[in-house]
Amino acid sequence: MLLLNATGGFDASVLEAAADRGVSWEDVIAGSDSALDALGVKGAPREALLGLISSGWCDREVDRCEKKGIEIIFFGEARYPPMLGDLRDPPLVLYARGKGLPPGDAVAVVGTRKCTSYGSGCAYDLASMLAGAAVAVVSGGARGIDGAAHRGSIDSGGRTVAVIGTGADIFYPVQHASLFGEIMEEGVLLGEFPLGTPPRPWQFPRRNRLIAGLCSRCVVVEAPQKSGAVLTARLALETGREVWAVPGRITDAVCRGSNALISDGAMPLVDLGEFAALASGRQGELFPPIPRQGVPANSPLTPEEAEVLRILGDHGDMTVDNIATEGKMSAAAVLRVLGVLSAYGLVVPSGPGRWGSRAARGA
Amino acid sequence: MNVVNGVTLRGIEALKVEVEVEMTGGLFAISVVGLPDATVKEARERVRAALRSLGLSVRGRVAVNLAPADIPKEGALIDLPIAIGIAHAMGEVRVSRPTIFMGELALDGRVRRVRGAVPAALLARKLGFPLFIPEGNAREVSLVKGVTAWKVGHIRDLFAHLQGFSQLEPIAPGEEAEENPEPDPDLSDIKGQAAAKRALEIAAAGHHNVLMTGSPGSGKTLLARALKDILPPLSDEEMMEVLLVRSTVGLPLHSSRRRPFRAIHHTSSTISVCGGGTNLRPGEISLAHRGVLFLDEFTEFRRDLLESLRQPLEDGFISVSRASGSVTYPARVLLVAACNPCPCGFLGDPQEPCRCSPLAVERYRRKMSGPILDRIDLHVTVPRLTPDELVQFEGQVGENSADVRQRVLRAREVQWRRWGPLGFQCNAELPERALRRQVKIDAEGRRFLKDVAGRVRLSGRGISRVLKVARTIADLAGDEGLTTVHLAEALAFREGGDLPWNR
Repeated sequence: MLLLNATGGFDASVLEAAADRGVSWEDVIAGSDSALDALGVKGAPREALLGLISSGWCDREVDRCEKKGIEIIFFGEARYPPMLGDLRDPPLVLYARGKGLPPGDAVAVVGTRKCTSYGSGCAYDLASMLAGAAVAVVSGGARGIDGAAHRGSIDSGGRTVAVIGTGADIFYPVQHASLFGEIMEEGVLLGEFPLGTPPRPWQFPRRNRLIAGLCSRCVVVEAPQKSGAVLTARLALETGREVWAVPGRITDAVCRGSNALISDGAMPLVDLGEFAALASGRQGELFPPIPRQGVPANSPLTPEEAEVLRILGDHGDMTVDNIATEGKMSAAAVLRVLGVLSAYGLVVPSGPGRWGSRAARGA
Repeated sequence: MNVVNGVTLRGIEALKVEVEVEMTGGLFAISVVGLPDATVKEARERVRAALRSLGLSVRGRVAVNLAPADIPKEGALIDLPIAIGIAHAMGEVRVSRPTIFMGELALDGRVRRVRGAVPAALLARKLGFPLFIPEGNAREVSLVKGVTAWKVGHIRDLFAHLQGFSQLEPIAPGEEAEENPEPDPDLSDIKGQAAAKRALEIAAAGHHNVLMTGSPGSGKTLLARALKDILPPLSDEEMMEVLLVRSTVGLPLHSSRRRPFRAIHHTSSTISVCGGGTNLRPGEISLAHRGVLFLDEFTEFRRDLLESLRQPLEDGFISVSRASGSVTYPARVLLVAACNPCPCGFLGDPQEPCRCSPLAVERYRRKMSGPILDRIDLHVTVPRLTPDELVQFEGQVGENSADVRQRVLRAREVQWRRWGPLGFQCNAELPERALRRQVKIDAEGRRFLKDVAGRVRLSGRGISRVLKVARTIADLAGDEGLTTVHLAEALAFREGGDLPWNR
């Protein structure tokens, strides 16, 4: 199976074919022509397969994985995530690195790499809420929305799954090396490509189907029209998953794809808490806010701080001038409050000189 | 004792050069010795022609010695003393007491404007010598009080004066310094930008260097220019320092207590910024002495240029070394740097989309580090106001520069009283040790700082900067001890604290 996987272009359906046509695996591994013919292995993949067989690649790959602590999960094993069976073309082999697949439902949080701070903020908050509700977060480990989702889940002590489009021994993008390290502590890095596979554009749409397969709900946070995230949503729909999308501003190109999903029938995600409750199957329960970077309990907000938070919550991104005018405070006072609130992570800079509220979105 | 003297510039200082002339028989030749540079050597032709215009033919071998012999002499300002020296040796004029002459000669005997008249005047005042300067330099010399000087338009007039036929016009003490120049621009002319204005006020009060980040068109340059007018006005001594540098470079002078503002472009050469070159001249950083030095497009500056700015920012002067020795120029500046948030400049802008790839932003970010950043205490982001906001702020009139300056002056006084005995002038100069020992924080503030420093991962240096800025904020408010209030505001100006990528 490892062999067939390595040549690419084969999925679990080949197993059925083998059983149907009475091909024995020993024959395939021996490289018998008749067996390969029966499976329909032709052309370049056949050459590659024969090459790998003759060079003893299989044993070496297993060795390497053992050395690096990477698990190999085969289709049909008990460890193989059953959700992937819903896919039209489940992978033959999974490489898993980390603590292992979290049990229970998972939500995929996907989106563009070039996101706005609003998008990454949403992804972060959503993921941390889901983590608080003990729901695993699946994403693609890329920059932007993906990274924010993983980060949010980890920061709230959740388990998260990064489905990567490279070999499991390669960290891509390299800036996320430390993030991947943290993901592996509690969650898992999952991929279907043999070790040493470098990032190539066509691999990422392939890995997207795994994201779609692994989750029970797929949330697209921010995606332009032509985007891997939209593709993931489509695959999720085909696999019979719920598709949600976070509404974005209709003028932003970066939200065009996610908004289009909503108009095509995806469910709009308008309340993070409610969604987290739904995802955890505890709908209707009151959700306690996630104790993350909150204010320490012994120093509650001053009236000024509460006022600035309220203004930012009501109006969205504002400059110091706007806040000062609105709250009838001096600029120095506003800066003072922002200094404190930003240190506690309650307000975030949304652009040069502009501030947005975090609490308003999260709670 | 030699009576005919010229000057040469070394750094911003004028050195006395004695001009000795010996004339003997033989074929006509003028030779100049005493480390003259090319311009001084060429003085031979100008001097000969100028004297000839007076009907004075120089004959025989003329040896001109410029003493002290081991200091290089440069510039055409030594033409006039050589001419007078020759005339003196020929017995045409009599210089009865040691006198300093300076000026470049035209072939027809007119005397041209030179650079360095203010240093020469200061030297003449110190030595108690009378001074003859070109007419074109009269205005700048008039700003130096207590010097006896005459202005010379043509060498003929100088001869007549020295021969006692007529009198040259002495230079009268010039105009008084402009006391309160109109702020340009005034802070109240700038709409919105309360955060940046507050940052400038703190910068002016504690002499903290500032970095402004904002999209193109957000008004960073305007804000930087407003800073010079909220700084305290120049004192007499400071004004003389500013005049000295300007005169050394040969820039037009005006007497004003306004602080200098110099903007340098990122394509500037290190020499033009730091000073030096074959004819040693002060650079932009010295022209900004006692004022504001503005680096726009901060990230575009070459690393070596920024590296060379680090030392002067620390010391307040810059040394330029050459084979013949080193000169020192003053360079106590308040640095204002400005940059865009990303290569295209619109990261996080509410209207204009950013077109940069995440990698490009990452790379740009990384450029924003290095030697100079350690010297910058205040970080502030400047929003580009939307048309709506501009209209909204149209009616509001903010505080004007004069009011802000009053507060700055008070805060400076407090600092001066506190740090004067320890040898510092302002909070930004405080070394680590003094900071830890002398800056008192109350218990609650200490707890707050500890808590926050952990949350936002402030480095040791980051904490020192927050403390310095908080100290200035307290001084502006007139408070004795540091409390949470001051620390909280200082936190808003911490490095990267308000940039959208730091989340």
